[in-house]
Amino acid sequence: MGIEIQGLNKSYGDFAALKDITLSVPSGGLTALLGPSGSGKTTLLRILGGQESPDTGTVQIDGQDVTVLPAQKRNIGFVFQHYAAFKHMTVAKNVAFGLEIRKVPKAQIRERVEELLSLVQLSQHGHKMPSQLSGGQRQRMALARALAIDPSVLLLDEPFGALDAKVRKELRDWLRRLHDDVHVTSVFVTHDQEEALEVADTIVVVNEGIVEQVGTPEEIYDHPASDFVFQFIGETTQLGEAMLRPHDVRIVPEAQISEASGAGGAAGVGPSGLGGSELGWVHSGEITRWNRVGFEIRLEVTLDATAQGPVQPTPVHVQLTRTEARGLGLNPGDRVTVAPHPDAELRPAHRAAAREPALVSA
Amino acid sequence: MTPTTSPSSAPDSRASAPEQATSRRGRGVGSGRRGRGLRTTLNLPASAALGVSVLWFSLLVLIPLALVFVAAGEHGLGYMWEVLTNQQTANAIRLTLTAAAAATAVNIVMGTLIAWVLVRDRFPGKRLIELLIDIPFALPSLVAGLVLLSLYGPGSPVGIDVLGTPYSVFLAVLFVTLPFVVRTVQPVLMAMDEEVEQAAESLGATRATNFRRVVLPALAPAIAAGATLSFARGVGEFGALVLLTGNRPNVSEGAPIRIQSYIEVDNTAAAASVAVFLLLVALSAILVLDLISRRVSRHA
Repeated sequence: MGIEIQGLNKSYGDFAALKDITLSVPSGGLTALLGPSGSGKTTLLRILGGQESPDTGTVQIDGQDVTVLPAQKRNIGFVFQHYAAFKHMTVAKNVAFGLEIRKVPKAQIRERVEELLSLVQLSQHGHKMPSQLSGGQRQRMALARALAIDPSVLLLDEPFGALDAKVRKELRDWLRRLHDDVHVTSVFVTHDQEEALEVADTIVVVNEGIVEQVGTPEEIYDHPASDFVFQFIGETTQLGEAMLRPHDVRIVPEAQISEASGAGGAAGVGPSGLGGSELGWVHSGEITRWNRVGFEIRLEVTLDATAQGPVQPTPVHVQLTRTEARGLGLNPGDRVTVAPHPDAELRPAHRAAAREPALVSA
Repeated sequence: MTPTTSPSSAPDSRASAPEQATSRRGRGVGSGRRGRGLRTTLNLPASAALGVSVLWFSLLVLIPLALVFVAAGEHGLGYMWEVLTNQQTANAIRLTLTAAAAATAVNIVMGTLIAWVLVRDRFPGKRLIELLIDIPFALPSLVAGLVLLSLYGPGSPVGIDVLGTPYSVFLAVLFVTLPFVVRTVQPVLMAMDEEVEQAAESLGATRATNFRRVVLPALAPAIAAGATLSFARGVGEFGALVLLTGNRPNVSEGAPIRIQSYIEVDNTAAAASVAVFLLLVALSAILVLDLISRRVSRHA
């Protein structure tokens, strides 16, 4: 059950948007299609919704082959990035649209619309026109409209993409809670890894028309299947021979190391505590950039050059909380020692670096 | 309450009611209209601009128009009635109004269709058609008559001769009013979000339902605007009629031609009477079309 996708291909002229996609989306879950723009994730969603048709391959929803079924007959709820509100109808009429098409009795429609409006917290706004609503409210209306038809599948195309950061965050939490109540099989497209990690049960990472990895947010973040996923799902930085996450870099002021040598280490991180030291990945350098973002501190450490020249072309990025930085007594301009955290997910730097231009262009 | 105080308090209460209504309904698109007259944005430059606009409009339109009304009433309403009920004149007016209404009806359908094709479809030669649409605007309408005559006149290569028949008026009006609906609907259609139709589709709407309940209500104001222009132009069209219709009294003579013949015999009052009547009909048509378009938009 759920959605079964078999050998899907779609090309626009010479451009292959989807290459032999085979994927199964579990029933009742909230699945994110995550990828950079141009990766094919929206094309895939539109094929599920019936707005596009594949060149080859099949799509099954709850066991029924819908590959050639027109959108009208799929009973799929679709939520668009820019709301796609019926501007000349009231909010209540918008929500009722799908039910009216299905010739549901009037009294029943009224009841269902009321129920949905309260579900999306728009009970007070039923009589308004969509233009009188805020962006977040409009998107909730669009969601109620899509849910009204009791869809077998709910598809959302970058549903929060047009909203400002704060509303987006609220709506994300709200969608997660709504889904816990409604349990309709849902697929949403996003290019925002944070959104995918926060909201989805399952993440499908799509890149250049292929599925790179399918997994839970934890699996995707902790065990990326490819360099692309590793780079796309979170921030990365180079440290000597390795690529790793900036928060997986351990940093210790040099002054503390000399003071505490043999004494167990200050703040629990002595020289012996610097994981990876036996691997020869401990480097010295200087904090050349100090950027405070809320509770978080982002540093750049420029490594000391060796006799053979600079260790690496770019500084090491390090991420730590304000509390951690205070505990370590770090200050801008300090001399420090950096090394990978013992549990860090490490990838060879040369391979990952080779993929970097592709990531930037995406 | 004494009789002297009640008249002064009444306007106050009347003025505040719409204001409350506006503030309660918020700043929505539709609701702002009613309250707009209450507050003005007039500062010095705005007042100057308004003054210039009104003066310009008066000099060019309002004053001459008022003079037409004055001229029409020169010999009293009785005379006006006499002119309008003159058999030849009445026939001319009827023919013109029928032709303009029929042409407008055709334009509503064909204009929307052409606009749809131009916006939604891609095909070779699209740019060319885009340019050609405006030819009825650009061509002096006397020449338009000539062009139509060569195709649908006595020497017609397709065997259709409308010269001297009532259909000639219809054809002439059809030709000159073709661009109106196309040009008003086109930009609205271009700005229309196709995702809205896709949303309706995903909710189960067939193409016909989608058109009737989603597309048409969005286009209705533009169609009405185009139809209004088309009807007004159709009623007033003169040049294209001159050559094409043959101007046979009671058969193919249009009202503007009738006005022309009144002017030729120096009967300004009669000419103005016909003109005023046509104007009033055109104004009511604008009103009716506006009402219809609002209704279509609202009851989707």
